[in-house]
Amino acid sequence: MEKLDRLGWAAGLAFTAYGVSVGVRVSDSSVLERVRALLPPGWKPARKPTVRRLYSLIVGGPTARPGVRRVNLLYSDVARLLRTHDLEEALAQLELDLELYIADRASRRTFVHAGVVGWNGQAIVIPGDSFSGKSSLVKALVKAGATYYSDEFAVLDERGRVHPYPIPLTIRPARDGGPPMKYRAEELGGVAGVCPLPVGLVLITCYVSGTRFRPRPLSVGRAVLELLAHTLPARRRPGRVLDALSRVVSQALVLRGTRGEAEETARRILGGDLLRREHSAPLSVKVSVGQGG
Amino acid sequence: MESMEPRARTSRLVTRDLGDELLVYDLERHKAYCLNQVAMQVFRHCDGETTIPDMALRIGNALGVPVDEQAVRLGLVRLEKAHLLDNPVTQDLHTSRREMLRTLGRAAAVVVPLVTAITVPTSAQAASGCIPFGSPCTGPGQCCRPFSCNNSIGNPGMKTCGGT
Repeated sequence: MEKLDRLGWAAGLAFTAYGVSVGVRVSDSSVLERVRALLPPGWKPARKPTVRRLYSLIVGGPTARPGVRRVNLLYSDVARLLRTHDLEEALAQLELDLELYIADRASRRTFVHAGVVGWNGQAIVIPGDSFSGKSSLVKALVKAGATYYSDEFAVLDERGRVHPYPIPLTIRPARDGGPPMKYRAEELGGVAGVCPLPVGLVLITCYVSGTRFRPRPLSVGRAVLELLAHTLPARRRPGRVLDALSRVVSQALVLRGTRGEAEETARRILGGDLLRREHSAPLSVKVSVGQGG
Repeated sequence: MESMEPRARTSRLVTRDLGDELLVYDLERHKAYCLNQVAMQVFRHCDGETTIPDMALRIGNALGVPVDEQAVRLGLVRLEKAHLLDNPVTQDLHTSRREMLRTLGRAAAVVVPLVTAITVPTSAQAASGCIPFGSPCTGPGQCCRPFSCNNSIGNPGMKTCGGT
């Protein structure tokens, strides 16, 4: 770190997001505004200069010698993340690493990789891997009138409510075809949510062409395992994660099943009786820890 | 023959009681398990002092239905496979699952101990199920955005997630 510290840094910023303090410094001040645009939703300037993680971006570019370019170097603390001639690639890696680090370390929130919409005062949470059709279903739900919360993370608090994570919804055309399309909720004719919501429905699904949407309920325990498979800080703090997920599924209906086209599925979800109107009494969860958790 | 008294593992486990099910997180292997009601009862009765016949009797009383010793044995096999027992079960218990289920007969649907398992992902894996930058890949669409699966410069014949 001392070697990096001795380099000339033109600009930097320190911020907090979800209780995590991070710093970013750059060798070219013109890049700082682009870095600021990558920061996660809800970030605030840090009150103290001391941060838990420091990213350093050495910006490359042309030199005085014809045909010779300096590379861009990205560091996370002392570890080099990337060496590339493409500044866009370096910024994309910075954005990704920031997102993962904060989601993994957030102090009072549990991040689950999921799409989320709001409907009738409750949240619909759709966990899933990339290319499972999660974002397409979120887009269809928003176009059908649901409130957009996220297509990336369900941010759960200690009461089992989900908070908005309002980055633009991203749809990838195909596994191999073309750049991703980004949409704000307003561009889809919808609105973005601002208040935390209790979870009414957790839907574990993926797109299978031609299939009918006939999801089946899962037991509470099986539902927790399904969510755990998409929960970022699960290994770091398993006890707290199990508590958060147990709280969510004890108050929500959890369904699993494949689906067909997103628009038809969205109509069935919002038009039917899948969402519970009244929450059942929260499950009493007994804690037992054996040297860990 | 049935003097074995199984003992449940307690170290490096985090458990959460959900009423009819038990969640168990193995801190050593980063695996998580959901035990159904029957498996949970077997796990709880593995105190190092209770024999299998006694276990079957007590679990039956707890559940309100007769529980066959084969169901207990099946539960023990499954718990051992999940590394949730401190002392290994004897070879006698390693009859096939099919044989045990055949023996359970009509009661199988009620008293079959189930242990559902997942491997808990790292944060990068959980974030998208994608392969992170610099890691090996085999084809398009596997890499975390915005990277793609390219031929590795340093390792001919190998592909890694890298530049777009």
